[in-house]
Amino acid sequence: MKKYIQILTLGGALALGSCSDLLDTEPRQSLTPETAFADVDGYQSLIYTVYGRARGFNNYGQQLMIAPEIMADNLKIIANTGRYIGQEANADRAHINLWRTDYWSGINEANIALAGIDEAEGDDAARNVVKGEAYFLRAMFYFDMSKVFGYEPGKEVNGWDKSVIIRTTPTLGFSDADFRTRATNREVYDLIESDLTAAIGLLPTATLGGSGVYRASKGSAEALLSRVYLYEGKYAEAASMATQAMATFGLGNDGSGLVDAANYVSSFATYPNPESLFEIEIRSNDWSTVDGVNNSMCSLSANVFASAQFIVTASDELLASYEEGDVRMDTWTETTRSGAAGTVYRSNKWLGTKGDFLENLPIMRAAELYLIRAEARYRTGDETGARADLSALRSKRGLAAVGSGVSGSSLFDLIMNERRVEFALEGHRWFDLKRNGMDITKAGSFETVPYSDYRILAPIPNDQIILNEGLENNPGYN
Amino acid sequence: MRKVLLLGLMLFLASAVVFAQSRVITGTITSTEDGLGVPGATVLVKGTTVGTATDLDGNYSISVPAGSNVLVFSFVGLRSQEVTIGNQTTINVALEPDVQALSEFVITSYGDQSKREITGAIASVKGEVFQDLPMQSFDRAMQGRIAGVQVTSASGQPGGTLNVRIRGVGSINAGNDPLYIVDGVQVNNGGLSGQGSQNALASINPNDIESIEVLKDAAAAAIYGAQAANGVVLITTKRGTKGATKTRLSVQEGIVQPLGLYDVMNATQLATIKRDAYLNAGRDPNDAAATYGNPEDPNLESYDWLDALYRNGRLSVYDLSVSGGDEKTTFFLSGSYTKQEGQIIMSDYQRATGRLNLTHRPSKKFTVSANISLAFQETNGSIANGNFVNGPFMAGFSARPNVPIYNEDGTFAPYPSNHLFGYNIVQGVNEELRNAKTVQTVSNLQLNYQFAPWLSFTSYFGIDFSDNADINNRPSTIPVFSSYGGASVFTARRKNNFNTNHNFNFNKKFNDVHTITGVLGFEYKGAQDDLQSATGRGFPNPTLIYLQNAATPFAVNSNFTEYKRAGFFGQAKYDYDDRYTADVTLRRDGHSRFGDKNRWGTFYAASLGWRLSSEAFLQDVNWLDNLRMRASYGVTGNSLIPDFASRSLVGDGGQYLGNGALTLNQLGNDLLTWEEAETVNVGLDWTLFNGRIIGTVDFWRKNSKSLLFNTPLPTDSGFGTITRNTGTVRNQGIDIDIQTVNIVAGKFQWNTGFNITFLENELLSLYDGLDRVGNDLIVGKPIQFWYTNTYLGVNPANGRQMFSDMNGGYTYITGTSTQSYIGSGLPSSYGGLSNTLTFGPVSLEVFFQYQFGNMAWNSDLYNLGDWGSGTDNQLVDMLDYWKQPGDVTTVGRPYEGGQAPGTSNISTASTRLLSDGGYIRLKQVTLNYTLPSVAASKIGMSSASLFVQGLNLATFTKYNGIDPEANSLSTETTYGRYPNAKQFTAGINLNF
Repeated sequence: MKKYIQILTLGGALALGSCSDLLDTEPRQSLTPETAFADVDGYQSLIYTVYGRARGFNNYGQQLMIAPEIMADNLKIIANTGRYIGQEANADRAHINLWRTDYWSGINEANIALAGIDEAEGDDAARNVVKGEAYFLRAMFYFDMSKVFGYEPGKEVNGWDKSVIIRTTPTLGFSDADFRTRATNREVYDLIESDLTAAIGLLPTATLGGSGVYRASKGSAEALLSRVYLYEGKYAEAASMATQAMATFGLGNDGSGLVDAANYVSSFATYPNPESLFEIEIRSNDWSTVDGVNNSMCSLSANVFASAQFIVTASDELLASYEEGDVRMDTWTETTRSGAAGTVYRSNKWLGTKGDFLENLPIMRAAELYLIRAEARYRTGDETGARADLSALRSKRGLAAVGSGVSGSSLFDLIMNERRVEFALEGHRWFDLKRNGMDITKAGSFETVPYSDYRILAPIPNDQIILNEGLENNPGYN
Repeated sequence: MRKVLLLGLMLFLASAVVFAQSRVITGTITSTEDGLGVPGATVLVKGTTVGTATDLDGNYSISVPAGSNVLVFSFVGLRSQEVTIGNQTTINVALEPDVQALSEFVITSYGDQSKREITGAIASVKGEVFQDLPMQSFDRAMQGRIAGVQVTSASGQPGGTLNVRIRGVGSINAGNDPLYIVDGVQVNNGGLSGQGSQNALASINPNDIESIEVLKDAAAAAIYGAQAANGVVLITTKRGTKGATKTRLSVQEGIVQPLGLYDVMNATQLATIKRDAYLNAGRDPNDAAATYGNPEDPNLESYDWLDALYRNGRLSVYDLSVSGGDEKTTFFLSGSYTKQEGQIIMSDYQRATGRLNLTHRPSKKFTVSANISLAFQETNGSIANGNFVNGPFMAGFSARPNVPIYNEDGTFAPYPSNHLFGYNIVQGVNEELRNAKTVQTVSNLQLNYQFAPWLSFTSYFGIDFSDNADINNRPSTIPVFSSYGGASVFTARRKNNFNTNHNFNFNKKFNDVHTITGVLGFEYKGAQDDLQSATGRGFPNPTLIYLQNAATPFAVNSNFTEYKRAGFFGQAKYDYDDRYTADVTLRRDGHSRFGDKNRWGTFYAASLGWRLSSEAFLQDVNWLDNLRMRASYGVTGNSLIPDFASRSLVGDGGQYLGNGALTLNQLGNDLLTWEEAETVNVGLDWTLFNGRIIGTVDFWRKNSKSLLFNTPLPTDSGFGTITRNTGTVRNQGIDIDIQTVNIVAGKFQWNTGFNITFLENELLSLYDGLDRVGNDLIVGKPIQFWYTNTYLGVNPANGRQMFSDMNGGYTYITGTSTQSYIGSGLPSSYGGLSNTLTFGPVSLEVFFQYQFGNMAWNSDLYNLGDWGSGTDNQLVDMLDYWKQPGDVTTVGRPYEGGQAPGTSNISTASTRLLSDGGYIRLKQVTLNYTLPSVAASKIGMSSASLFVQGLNLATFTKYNGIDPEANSLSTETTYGRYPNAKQFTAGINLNF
């Protein structure tokens, strides 16, 4: 009996003494922020996540490629699977939903890196790359959202200048996640400009068509900034920044550096695309086993794989936009689709040639610099320069130079048409029309959506409007 | 046995002899239980000290003094009876079992206590109630049987998981599952597999269970304080008893049938509505005909997808047990095998179990006991509970009736790629392998040393270990998987769950009236979960599924998680003369899940009981057998959150360019601590008219405080939520349980068991003075409710869907301003009603289970009821659609794509998809015939019976879907639920 009590007392004392250790556990798949972000490498790993977010199917992986085309006049539905059918009809609330945690998380991750990178261990070259990438990606994400949720500065309808919420400091705890109101479009564009300017000063250069385009570079930041200037009507700045980006990538005023017409279609099955300024790489393990067939661009826009959904095809108006001899028409191949009468066209830009629907996502291609500069020069009165830029591009697309007689609004229409055929199924059309204040006109039974219509701007999700009393929805959404 | 035990007592009592006799009464005392004489029973002349005891055969003879006219017959374990003598000289008395004395012991890992002493709210169901029911897990057996316990089967997958809620839903984000304790082992509940719902609790063969006790209030559960906020379910398995070895064999076979199916259109019907949908949307009707067929074509053929998917499944249960023992050792040994096919093809479940419960006493002071069980479960699962094109419960109904299932050669026909992702659901279900095999043990070892009659020490070790292996193979023969040559995913899950406690128990009676019992101890629990999975693609032949044959190693994954919990506990009870009881429990627990600064929590309870029937002033009330009042108050804890919910976690962010990526996955909160449930319970127990009416009623209130609440953050912060302790939810209600013997007439007897719980749920507060969080939570409302648009019907003028604009008018376009609170997703009452009719050897039990007061959603109507405007086949009801102005219809104007200009989509969420989720279900009918014991013994049996039974035979409901039970959980998707099934079985039960 005595012995038992001794043992028990001893055991009890041991149990009590080790009590604090008794409850110690450590997660094995995760680190504390202190450990993870002690050095520059940790922040680099964080920025890789942001790149990964860009390939999401709600982002460039699908929605940002298809929705701006079908909401405008470039695509039509040939199989009703429920997807994009509302966007095709410009139905109430059928828009581009970017106000999502994954998009905002990308911005927060950039903010975490920018807030802490200066204190992290590591060499400064690597540090500058991380900083530059963070600035670039934050700017890109803000720009994507500002295009969807607000009007461009100077293009407001009824003076409505609300854009997205601005956060430039990281959310690391409960108190950081305060409720904010929407900033003006001017404030958001100022942030984007300053981020890209900072990125240009920090990032290394990349070679056109080299693997460097899989990450942000000095040239891609310049290219994006020139696009931003164009959107906000800063045409002189847009033209000079496009010139700067062309110099960085070694693109000649005559179009040298662009692929030859013969190689244009196959460039979309080349990784990276030889014209890519910035491209997101995808690997098969980024997708679940059914993402290819369910969600890929290839499955939705082509029937090269037997199981493809093939729900969208070129609209008749888009097909009519190609000039005779335009090699870009070869990005469409005649085919048929059960359930859709007559001939339809499958896209050759999205052929899934990395296997099983897989391919990379070109976000910015070199041709855009010529088109930005042409439009900017046209807007600043330099029609000769505009025609030269168009001709340089057309020379690589199997088309003749622009005649000197093309000027004024017909020159502008040609620039818009050139953009339309160059970037078909790359997610530009809706935004090109919108930033120029143009109406959305479609064939068939679809009604025109005037620029002044509320459906030009996307609704902010209802749950966020209800949660945050300071958050105002765009006009017209009840 | 009784004879042996009480010989001594008889000798003792026999000395109370007679004097001053005036008349002699003789007779025999028998027991109603077995009809045999009761030796050693006391016969007393009321109001005197004159008495005698019966002999070995139960006979007595007593001299009654003049002036006395009443005899009192009594015996331990039997109810006393008083008989007026009158002119009789022979009085034979049959004594009934005493309800009080029969009160069971509740066996906990911390020690045993008589149920009679318990002052908390406890309900129980005996194993014999659910013995031989073809239910795979004991949680299903509780359904409708226990007041205050709501059991919902959200999946009809055989062997699938269930939802058990004790006294409402107190947590918003933390788990609401009770703590399950099997013979002291704190077991995991939930699912074991990713390939089909497989219930962790199904490793326990229900026929091995002696009883299930549910501890509902804080006083009952506080000893398990750390995880008792949601109630505790104690399962006690059978043990052997000293004496002859008993063998029990039961065998049953039966069939499984669908409860019901949606009535969907044939090809001509669908082609008709689709053509109008295309025309109304300005589209080419030839496109409609190309896809859905021409409605005017008399040769348009229909194919029955449902017939190819549903079936009558087979059900078999075999069960064998042997038990017995001697003075030193007792044992219970059992084995069972169950196989049940689902109502859908390729869905089945089988289980084999083995158990050995052993108790050995090497000395008078030392007891060692072990319960060892091993179970093997194999599930072939179905894709269910979601809007999945490869799930038969969704795609089976949605598939186009004009599309052939098979080619002429019998192979599977390709399905059009513009619907269901080109997935032929019949081919998919037939060819995709979704297999889960799990080996699980729930075992324990208990050592007990009795220092003194009043003091003992117990060391207890329990383990719940499961090893699961899932295989999912999607062969290249299915077109959607052909592009990569098919894929296999192998997943291994290992769950290890250990608990141990070491405690002193004392029990001492002073001066014959003061009894003090208590427990003092320490407990530790640790649980680890391990997962590994690997995916391979590109198989040279579709019959090869193992990864060795895969051309491409595609993806790998592994992860690990764990938690630890430790606690000290003490409990003391005081009983005065079986009249007054008091009970105090204190427990302090720490949990690794909580923030560094706030890991420890203190839980406690106190209760009082007063047995009025033991008071002198009620001694003369003959019809009152037992009357007792109870009151309790206490606080218990809840820690059902992810293991690292309190920490900021930087973890997996995928990959980019072959570099592993990291991201801040979760915002931490190092102040995070226990969620608490504060419970008040007042109860009354009564037994009237010699046990003819036994009842319990409990009035309770449970305030769940410092909720582990996923506080929503604005999306623009980059995070959806952060877990904080905030908010209060109140559940309150009344549990009523009444058992009656309505009629006893010769061989005929009618018994009724009835229970019902009335409850209400209300969110009392949130945080920072907020009165609502979006449309998800509103202070003053229940925590699960429906907040949506109000559907007003079809406008006869234009066939459009009208919604209330919340200002008395209607609108076609919905938004934040058109939504409102509609009703609760939680029931306001539930329970069960059982009637048993016995006539000699034949008995019939009819059992209803019911639930009322909740609204239930049916997402299937998004697919099957969108007025012919989408891509799916439609309910036949949709044919009553609007065609021209003035038509008054229930179905509006079909519009291809679903959204005519100036309208919201036809599939907009609204009350159109909502209906009353209440139901009454004829859950069980059992007809049993017991062979007369003479006949049984002739064939060498101690007893034998034959039975037929049916489960889920009929449902009475206004619900707009197939199974109101499977769709009654408002927090889960209502798309494509696997409904419950009807079951019919017949079997025999033999005892040797």
